[in-house]
Order: sequence, then structure tokens, then C-alpha cells
Amino acid sequence: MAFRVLLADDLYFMRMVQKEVLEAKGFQIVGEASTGTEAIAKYKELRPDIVVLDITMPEMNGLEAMKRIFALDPDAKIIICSAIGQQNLIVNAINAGIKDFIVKPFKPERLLSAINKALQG
Amino acid sequence: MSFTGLDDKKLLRAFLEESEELVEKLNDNLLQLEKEAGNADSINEVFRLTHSLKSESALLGFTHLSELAHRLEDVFDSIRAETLTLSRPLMDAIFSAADLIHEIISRISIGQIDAQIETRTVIEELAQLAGLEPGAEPEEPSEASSTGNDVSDSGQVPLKPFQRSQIIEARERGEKIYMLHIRVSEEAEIKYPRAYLVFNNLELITNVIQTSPIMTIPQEDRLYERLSILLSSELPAERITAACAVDLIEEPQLEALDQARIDELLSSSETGEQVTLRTSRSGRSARIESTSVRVDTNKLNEIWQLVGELTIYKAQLSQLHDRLSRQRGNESIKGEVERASDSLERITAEMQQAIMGTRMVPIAVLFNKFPRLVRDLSRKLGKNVELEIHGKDTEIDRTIVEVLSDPLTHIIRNSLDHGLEEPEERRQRNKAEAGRIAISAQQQGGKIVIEVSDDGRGLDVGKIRKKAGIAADVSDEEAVQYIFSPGFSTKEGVTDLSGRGVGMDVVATRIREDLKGEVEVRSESGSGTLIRILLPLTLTILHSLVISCAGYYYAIPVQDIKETVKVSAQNIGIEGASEYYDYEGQKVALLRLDSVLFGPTDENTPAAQENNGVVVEQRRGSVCLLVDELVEEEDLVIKPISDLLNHRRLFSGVTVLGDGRIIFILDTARIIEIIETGGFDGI
Repeated sequence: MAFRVLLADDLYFMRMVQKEVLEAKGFQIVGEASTGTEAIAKYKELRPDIVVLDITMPEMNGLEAMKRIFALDPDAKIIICSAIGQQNLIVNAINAGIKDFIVKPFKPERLLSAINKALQG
Repeated sequence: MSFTGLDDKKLLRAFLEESEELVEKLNDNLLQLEKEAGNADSINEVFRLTHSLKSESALLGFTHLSELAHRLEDVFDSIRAETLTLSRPLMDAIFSAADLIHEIISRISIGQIDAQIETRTVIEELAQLAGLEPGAEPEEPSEASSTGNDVSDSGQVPLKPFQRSQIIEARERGEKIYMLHIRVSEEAEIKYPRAYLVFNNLELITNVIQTSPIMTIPQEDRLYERLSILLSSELPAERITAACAVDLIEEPQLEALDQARIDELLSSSETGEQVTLRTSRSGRSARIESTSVRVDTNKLNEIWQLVGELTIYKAQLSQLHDRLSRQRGNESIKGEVERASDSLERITAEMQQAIMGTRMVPIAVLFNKFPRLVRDLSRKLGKNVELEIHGKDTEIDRTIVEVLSDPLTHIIRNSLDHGLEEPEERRQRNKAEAGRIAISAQQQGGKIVIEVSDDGRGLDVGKIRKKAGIAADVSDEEAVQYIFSPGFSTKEGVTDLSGRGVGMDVVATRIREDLKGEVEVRSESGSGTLIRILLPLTLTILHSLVISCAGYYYAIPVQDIKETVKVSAQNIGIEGASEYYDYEGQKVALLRLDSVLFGPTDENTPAAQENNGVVVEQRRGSVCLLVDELVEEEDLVIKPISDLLNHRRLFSGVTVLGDGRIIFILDTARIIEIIETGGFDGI
């Protein structure tokens, strides 16, 4: 049974890359969101196994969306996408309970490894 | 203060605890130096203390505190190198700096940021007097900043005292101690958050004792390529390594430490420098240190409460045994229950003793503040004072120490301010120019006796009599006790030292009401005053006599009881509206407990020929309480009582007996006070 993934990034290109990488390894992309608000709504609706959430998004950023998702589901598995220079944000997200984080730009194996390990734990 | 993470509060609390001790030692050594400017031990010790304070506060981001400590450290470095001598003005500036450090730490402890306190003036004064550059390097460039820890040659970061106690506590809980080494892959662009992720995962399931580099405050990113974590856990090793299963973390190596390694860790001290200092000074103090563990008072209170509950069940079991033994048969079970009940009783008693021991602290923790207090006050007042302290090792309940601090400080201030004469006056009276204040503590029976005496002018009995309107037949000895009665204050003009209107009456109220103690004064005109405080050993356990009255049970603290007597009708006399008991030729007020508690009854004659009486005695007087039955003597664990249940304040607390019955503890001092001030009719 394929793991169900929700991708949230405001850049269509980014979601496309992630989708390709993940689908090639048998993951099922159940939904995509381009804003924080959308990510929450999709999470509620789809209850995916894992969310890949970009920190910088319009209409509520990834961190706020992360908090709301944890409020909905404390056991949610979330991986944050960040950029170099966002160390403090990452540490805050770790304290909030994310499983892992990826630093952009990233190689495909980073995303896969992070997701695989997060799903195991 | 920009640190994040779960460990911050723990870290801050440990810092505050430690720094308080540092400041106290700092003051002690400065006082020593004031007496003997060349004392090399004290100079080294101050240098070491300021160094520790500097590093620890820098680690937590308290830059102002750190800078101040740094300046002091520089000053003492120069003194140590003998390029600078301790002059009187420099000593004063150093004391001001030490005070400011204390002030900043107390502000931090109530949540303020250290930058809110102005340190510049003190730093500049210090620099000027010491001939050093004031603002050469406000931030720490090297030393503690690289990893935040001083790593010894073996690569092991020495443990801080609170980390050491964490290890000991973990061992007591039966947990294993592990050392975990991880590497953050070179591919990771930013290493700190990655290391933090593992640290956080571990914090969630284990007890992380120490990390190197430290995690709570980010250091230079490249330092986090390797992370060593000392932790304790009862989990199997696989669960712990599983917490490291995140992207870009390589080769987690988990090693369960054997006893030898743990001992080695425990014997390592804060810094190499300290180790040499400590061992060279005296091996004895180091040994004492290693056997003591810092414990949160709340934890102790919790254990104390639990043992209190244990005593309830102990009593319940022995009552069950009593009931069982009245039934026929089951002889072998009866014997076994009896033995079990006896053993439980013995063990509970021993446990109470042992835990009582942990609640006790040497009164030195309180007394050690006074040399500094006396020094500062005497200089402010222009008086020359010698302070003597005796019985520092006397042990006292920590809750008492906390409450006692203010009243005792006030008494000492009073002695200095009002008691001791000006130097000129002392010369005229042929007294030594330096006044003497002595503070002592000792245990006498079930009480702690604390005395503060001075060789000053003594109390002005005439003035006290006039002010309080005391009758002529009251002896001088009695009259001086009026300084403790509410609203009394002899001195008209209030100086800023004696606490503006807060007089000995307030001191007495705190000691009597909050500490269940007694205070008395002796004074001899022209030659001095002695204040004696008597305190119970502890506030929470009370050896009491349980009595019954009108079908209910009450308890009277045994320490208040003079005697239990049989009262027959012919021993009872009437004087006015009240009865008295003829107690060995003395008239002692007689009170029927049932009428005190439930309102007056119609008849005034005892129902039976022989009644049980309990003669209780307080400083204000005695009373004989008529009760129904004397039930038993017991150690009662006292809990505070709500005002709702105690609107007449007749009870000092409440306890629960083995069978679940609630027992109120009679406040005999209050009962006597009511009689003395007009009896029970009005309330």
C-alpha cells in the first residue's frame, strides 16, 4: 500500500519536482496546496500519511500552517522545506514536532530519505 | 535572552541556584579580604568565582552580568599578579560590583532581562580605581565561546554539579547511563538544526544530561559536525538509536556506560582549574561536596506528604489488627498481621526520621548573610561592630529558614541601629569602642533556640512602660516583653534602617503565627539586649495528644501540654463569671472544651465526679481544658486549615487519622489569648 503524501508549496515547479521524485518511488500524491490555508483544508479532508510543507508561502506561512495541523492532529507527520538562513525557524519547527526538514535547493535523495525515515519512526 | 528548546528552564534554574551560591561565597571571600587584604586563598577564590560567573552568564546570554563579572575577574587577575593592590576605595567599588551582580541575578530570577540594569557606572568606577580599560572588550572573544564548554584533555566535558546529580538520580531510578556519538553528514548545509533535531528527538524519550557542543544556545555551525550526548534512560538501546534515524545523521554510536566510566564522569569537576584549587586547598571539602545532591524542595515536600499518607495507612492497619484480634480464630493470620503491622510501624518511623533529615539544613545558610549585612550597616551608621556567630551547624527545617530570614534580619538591624551606641557614647561609658553583636543557634530538646545579643544601651524600660501604659506592679522583666505586642514601637523617628515602622511587634507576629515559635527579650539598661527565639524543629509533624469532646476528636500538641489531670468537682472554684481549677494551690483558668467549641452549656458543674483535664501552657498563661477522654498520643502530619472552617482561629491545622476521621488541632495559644482578652462570650 502506497504512502499518501500531501505537498504544500506556492511554486508549481517545486511541487512538480517533488511529485515526480516521490511517484517514481511508489508514493501516492493525494493532494497539493499552494497556500498555508489550503494546506490545512487539504489535510483535514485527506488525512495524508505525511505532509511536505514549505516554510515560505502566501496566505499563512508554513509554520503557522504546521501549528494548525498539529492542533488538528498531534500525530501528524510533517517535513518542512526551508532555505539556508532560516535556522531559527527550523529550530522552532523542531520544537513544535516536525519529523525532519529539507534545505532548498535539495537533491532528490534528501527528500526521499527524510520521508522514508519519518514514516518509519 | 534568545534561547529556545526544552532545556532552557532547567538550565536557567540550575544557573540561578548555582549563581546564588557563587555570590554568597564571593561575599564571604570579599569580607575576608577586607580583614586581610593579602589573603592569597581569598584572592584566588574570588578570581575563580568571578570567572565561573562570567562564563556561565555568558553562556545564557546575560551579557551585562557577564561583563561585570569579567571586570571583577580582571581586577583580581591584576591583584593576583601583584600589579594592583587592594585599596579601601577599590574594595568599596568591588563590593558595589558584587551587590550589583546579586541584584542582576535576583532580577533575572523574577524574569527580567539583565540589560535593564545599568552597569556602566560601576564598571567605570572599578576600571578607574584599578587602572584598567573600562570597555576594552565587552563581549567574550575566546574561551567559553568556542564550544560553550571547557573540554579537558580526554575529550570529556566536565560535568556541572546539577548534571552530576542528574546522573546520580537516574541511577537511583534504575536507569542506564549512555553516551551517544553522532555525526552530521558533510552534505548537510546547516548542521546545527540537524543536530538539534536528534537532540530534540532524544529529549522527548530520554533524559538528556549533557551535550557537547551545547545545544540550547547555537554555537558556530561547523562545531555541530559531531555531537556527543550524555543521557539516561530505561529504554532499550534500539529505541534510543531509532531517535537518531533522520536524514543526514551518520553512524550513531551508543555506548552504555559501566560503573567505572560513570565514576570517572562523576569525579570530573567543573573545570580543570577548580580541581587543582579544590584538592590543594583541602581534600575534605571536596569529599563532602561529592556526597551531596541538590534536590528540589518541592520534591522533598512531595515525599514528605507521601510518608504522611503512609502513616495514615499504618494506623489503619494497626486498627484493623485490633479489630481482628477481638475476633475468634485465625490465630496464625492474626500473628502475621501483627508482625507486618509492627514492621510497617517501625519502618514508617524510620522513614519519617530519614526524610526529616533531608528537610533539615544547617542554619549557616541563613547566618552566612549576616556578616555582610552587619558590615554594610555599621559603615553606613558610622559604628564599629564585631560580629560573633555560633552554632552555624545547627540544623533547621528549610521552610523555617525561609520564613525566619526577615524577622532575624530585622532584629539584627535593630541591634545595630538602636541597640549599639555611637562610638563617642561608648567611650564615655567606658565600653570598648567596637560594639559586639552575637548570633547563636542551638538545639535544646525539641526546640531550636536562636539568640541575638548586643552589648549596647539596652531597652528603655521607662519609655516602654509609659508608651504601653503598663501598671506599676508589672516587673521590668515583664514590661520589656511589650515591645512584641501589636502596634508597639519605641522609637519616634524612624531611620531608614530599622524598616520604617515595622517593629518588633511584626517580628513577633511572624515568629509566633507563621513559625509557631516564641520570642522573648531580656534587657539590662546600659549593658545590652538579648532576643531569644524558640522554634519547633519542624512545622509539619507534631507529636500530639488526641482527645475526644462531645463525640468528636481533637488534638493538642504535646509541646503545649504541662500536665494531664483528673479534675473533680471540689477542685473547681468560681471567680466572677468564670471557673478556675485549683492546680497545686494555683488558680488556673478552667475551660470546658465543649462550650468553647459548641457554645455555653446550661449547667456549670461537671457531669461526672472525675473529669479529664489537660493543662496547657503558653507564654501568656495557662489554662485547664476539660475534655471527655484522653485517647492516645500520636505523631500527626499537620496540614494547613482553610479559614472557612476556622473563622474563630481556634485551630492551627488539621490531620487525617488512620480510619479516615478528620481531626482538628487546637491552637492553645489562641485559646489562652482569647481568655486573656475578655473570654469567649464575645466571639
